[in-house]
Amino acid sequence: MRRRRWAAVTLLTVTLLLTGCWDLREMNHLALVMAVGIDKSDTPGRLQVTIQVARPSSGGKGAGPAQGGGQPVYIATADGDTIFAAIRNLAQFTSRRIMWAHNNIVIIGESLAQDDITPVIDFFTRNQELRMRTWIAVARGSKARDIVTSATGMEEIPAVSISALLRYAQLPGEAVRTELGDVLDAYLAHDQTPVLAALELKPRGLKPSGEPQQEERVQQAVLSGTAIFKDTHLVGYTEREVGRGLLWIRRQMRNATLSVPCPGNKGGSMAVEIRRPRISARSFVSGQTPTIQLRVETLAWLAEQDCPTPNLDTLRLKQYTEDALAKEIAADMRAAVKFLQQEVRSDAGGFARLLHVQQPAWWRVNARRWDELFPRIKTSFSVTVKIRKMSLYTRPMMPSR
Amino acid sequence: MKQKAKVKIGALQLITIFASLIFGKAIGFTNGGLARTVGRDAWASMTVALLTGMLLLPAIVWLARRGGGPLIAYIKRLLGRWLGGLVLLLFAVYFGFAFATSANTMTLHISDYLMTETPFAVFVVGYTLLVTYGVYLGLEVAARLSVLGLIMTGLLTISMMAGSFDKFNYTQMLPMFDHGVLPVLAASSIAHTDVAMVAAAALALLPHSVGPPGRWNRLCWWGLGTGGILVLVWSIFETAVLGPDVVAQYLIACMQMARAAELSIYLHRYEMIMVVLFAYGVVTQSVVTLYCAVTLTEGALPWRVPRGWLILGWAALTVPLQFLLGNDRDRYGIFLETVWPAASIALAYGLPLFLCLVALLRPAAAAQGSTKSG
Amino acid sequence: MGRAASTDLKSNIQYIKQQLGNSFDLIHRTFVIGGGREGALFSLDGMVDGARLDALFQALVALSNPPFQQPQVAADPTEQVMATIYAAGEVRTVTDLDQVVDAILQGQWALFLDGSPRAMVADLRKPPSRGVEEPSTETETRGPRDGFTEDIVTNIALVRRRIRDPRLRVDPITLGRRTKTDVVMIYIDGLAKPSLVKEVDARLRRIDADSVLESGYVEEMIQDNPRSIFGILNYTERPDKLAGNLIEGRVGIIVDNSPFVLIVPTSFWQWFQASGDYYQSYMTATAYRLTRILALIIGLIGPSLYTMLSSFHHEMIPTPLALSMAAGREGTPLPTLFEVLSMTITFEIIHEAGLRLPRAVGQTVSIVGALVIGEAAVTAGLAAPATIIVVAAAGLAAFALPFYAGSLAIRLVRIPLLILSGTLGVFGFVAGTTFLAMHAASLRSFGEPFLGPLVPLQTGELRDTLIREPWWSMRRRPGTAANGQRRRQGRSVQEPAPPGGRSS
Repeated sequence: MRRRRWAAVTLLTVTLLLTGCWDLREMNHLALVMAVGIDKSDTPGRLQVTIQVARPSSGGKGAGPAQGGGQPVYIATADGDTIFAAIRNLAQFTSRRIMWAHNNIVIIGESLAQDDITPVIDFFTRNQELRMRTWIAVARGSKARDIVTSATGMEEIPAVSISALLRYAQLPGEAVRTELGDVLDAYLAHDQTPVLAALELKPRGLKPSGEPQQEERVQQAVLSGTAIFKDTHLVGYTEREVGRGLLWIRRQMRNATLSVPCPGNKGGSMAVEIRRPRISARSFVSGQTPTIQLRVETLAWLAEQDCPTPNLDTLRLKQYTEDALAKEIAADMRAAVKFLQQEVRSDAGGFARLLHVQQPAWWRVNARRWDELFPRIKTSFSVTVKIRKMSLYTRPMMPSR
Repeated sequence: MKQKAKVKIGALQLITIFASLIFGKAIGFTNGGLARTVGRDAWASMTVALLTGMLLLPAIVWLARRGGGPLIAYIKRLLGRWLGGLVLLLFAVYFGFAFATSANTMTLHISDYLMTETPFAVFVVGYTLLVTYGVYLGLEVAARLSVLGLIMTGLLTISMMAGSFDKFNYTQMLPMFDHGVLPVLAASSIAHTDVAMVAAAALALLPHSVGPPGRWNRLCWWGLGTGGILVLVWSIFETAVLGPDVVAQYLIACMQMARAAELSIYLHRYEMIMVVLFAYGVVTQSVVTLYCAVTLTEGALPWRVPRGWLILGWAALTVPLQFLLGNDRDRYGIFLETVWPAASIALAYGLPLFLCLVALLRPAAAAQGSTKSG
Repeated sequence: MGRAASTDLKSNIQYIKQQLGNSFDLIHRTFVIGGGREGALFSLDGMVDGARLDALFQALVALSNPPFQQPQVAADPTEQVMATIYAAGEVRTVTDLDQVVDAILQGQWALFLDGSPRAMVADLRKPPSRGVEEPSTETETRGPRDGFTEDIVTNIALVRRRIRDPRLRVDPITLGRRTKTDVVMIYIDGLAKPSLVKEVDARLRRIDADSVLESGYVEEMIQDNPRSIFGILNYTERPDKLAGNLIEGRVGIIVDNSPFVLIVPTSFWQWFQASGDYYQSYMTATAYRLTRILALIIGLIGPSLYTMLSSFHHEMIPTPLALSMAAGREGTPLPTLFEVLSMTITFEIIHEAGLRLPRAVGQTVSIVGALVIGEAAVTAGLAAPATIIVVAAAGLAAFALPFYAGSLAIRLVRIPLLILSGTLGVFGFVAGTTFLAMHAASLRSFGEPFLGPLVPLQTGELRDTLIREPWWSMRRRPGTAANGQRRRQGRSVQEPAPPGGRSS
């Protein structure tokens, strides 16, 4: 009895194991996608998918493409009625199974984004292989395909460089960095509007002068502002000041370098590094239109001073810089609000969410009319900057006499 | 009825069993269901369910103390042989379904997120075999496993918090009671599916406790509280990290959480760590529920059936049940939000309260037990 | 039961010779004592102390002198003879001839006198044995260097020397129908739980075997879970370790002819306890104990984890590592599972070969084998470099356990776990590990839970499991002892402090 029972269990287990291995995929049978671009196809109504796949033989070992024989990445493109179909079509000629798990970044072509980003958000968040923290960006002024094929950055695999651009996007403080999960949340939520990072191809990288040159400069993907959406389509991009202002308004500013003109209007500027900003937003409802009050308090370090300041001692210079900076930050925010309310009419600053949280009663009544109310929202800004050090210096820079 | 050595469980292990019973399914499925109903107030609904459970538990403890011995004999005494048997069978069926939902928690996690090509049936059969072995080993082993389970669950929760803390945005939980207070209370029925499991299991397990009956109340509260806090942490983090709309979009919310957590840029994926750490708690939950189903059936049937056959029989019965429930994910979601809460509340709360009523009305039958055991 | 000795010397001699056969090593001397009475002496050459046997013969020579020539000598002069030959050991008389045969086989001598129905038997045992040496399987950098030998008397003495407690009990029992091996149960009365002592005794008495050649025979006959790989009992070659365990209320089982002493009940956490832990600083001891636990985890699940990640769950591998692993796998013909499996088997073959080879060849062969096979497999493209690393690391990690039988068990268990993980991915891994956990949690060793005191959790008992608390802090006896949880050390705070350091 006992023996028979064990025999049955063993038999069952062995059968299970023998028929197993459904999901077994060895690593050398996989194409590890590093970046993917989605565009509108030349055929109307179809989508084009471009993937950048790492070639393991050269990518990992640090041996370099010269030794591995060929490029460090394999780039392929195909189109189909849906993204899924396009990928199936890719599989018709890629020798390996396409694996999304290590994908660094999803890039959406500009024309597709202007139409609708739904297919991209849907496919990549529905698929269990991708992570919610995959970077996502819009190809500004080009097709996503061009960015996927560009040789960006110092890494062997360009996609790794691009994802590093986004990871360290906080440093310039001009563009948001967007993860798939955040975009999905903003897409789904009725009180949020998605924004995406924008990547633009610019001839930035220089070739070593010794090499025979066909083009003077290499096309590189550059982080270039924030793509603003309304509902599900792209309506515009931010430029420098507006981009900074948007980050302040979205309360996502972490670290930025701003420049203020030197005192005395003699030209030259000073660089100030923003440190640990604290941004709070309050809202008031009086009558029909609410007012949103944004309050910024930040520390800053004076990082560079490109002009002698003969008339100012340390404390006065600080005073001047603090004031100038506060004005500049407020101006940035004002510009951003103006851009959002008047040019693109998109609530990318998150005012709806703010009012929903702070004025739930008002929101319940007015949520449906939000689109017409938004341009009329009043804003006010108060900025306090405190400069805590001039980096290593203790006195303003000036030649002593 | 021939019984082996009497099962005894220490107080600490009862607490860990209760905590394991509530945790598994709650973080996996319940939060998604709650978010679909009340959005960002999922955690409030969960809290309401936990508090109600804590208030209801003393009644069950009272009943278990009143019985003064094994539940089976007591219920038969209270209601007579046939009606008692029927009630026990109802309980057993409840536990059978509870086992199926618990098992599906594990199998669906793996099937949907980690191994999509493998047929679902393979997981169902394999997991049922594993749990059958656990039931065969008995309640004491499940109790010991629950200690491991709680340790692992704690590790999982802490590492999840560490991995997603930088995305934690408490304003996602605001404004509170966005949909009003009443829907929150109503939606707590979904969360009650998990709390009810503790209530039903308390009735079945408390008579095995080593500790004095005077401490049973505290014991239940501790168990429910420990599990409840862990579940609440997940509930709060899911809402605050993912946003309520994302949580609502997915059937298995906690795996979505795992997809959004990263333990530094080096361990950028979390799903498998989650499943591995999560397994011990869920297996405990499954073993305890199936054990209760088997034991109660054993008591309910008027003739004696060898225990081994009962275990195999229940396992064989629940394999198609799990498959039918879980294979169509969308129907399963609807089942968890409509049918299952109603059934759980009716069976796991209703039946004990009904028994309490009978015990009050027929004090003679109730007292018989306490003198016998005392 | 046996055959009674007769007064006729000849028939006694005949019986003994019939029982023992015409053995080469049987010493049979006849002699005549005073009054013309004949006598015979038997013993086994090599088993008795030669020098003291000589002393016996000298005493026997004296027996032909007066007063034994006097006619008043009794019909049975046994008592007088015993009084004379005291130099030859503690003499007792035996009337059962079969017992005499047993005594001779044990290395005692037996003396028959014509006309006496009693044989004189005395213990001059000195079986061939080696001296006390450093234990070869449990070397420690710090701690005593003596180890148990094959001789049970020496072994008991080694324990006695450490525990000078009058309540140290050494209960003997003879096991094995043919080997008649001496086995003793050693424990401290009052510290070992009486129920435990009774249980061990009962289990030992239940043994009815042909032979007991080593303590392993006894182990398999008394363990709780004969069908479990974790059923193995703790054993040691170190007297200090045994003494430490006795103080904790455990029972030792010493089997003659075996330097390995069994210790029951066995807990899983003992697998990690090296006796050196108790002699070194508690901080380093704790650190190394945790290292061993880590090593066990690596040794147990390392290969399965690697196989699972490499064949199923590539998303878990950090991207740069994934790329380099994929590069390593380019062109390898086998799936990871078979790669790992074959390399593991190769590792085990090298280990096994190295174990049995003559010492002079052994090391060379194993090193060359490992290098050549590992390096060649990679260069030839048969296995990925990562596979070699994982298999080697796991193989080494299993040896980090101070308990060799435990490391063998781990090495065996990891194979099914590997196959499960390699065919069913994370599901197989989870099922396998939870199965192991449930199985281990269900085990008991002589009434104590195998995984205790962690599972079931007894917080007061955790002072010497994952960590080793300092001695001054382990004030209470562990729960394995009869009076567990009672204080065992001074009531005063023993934590050392510089003079005047405590202001209170």
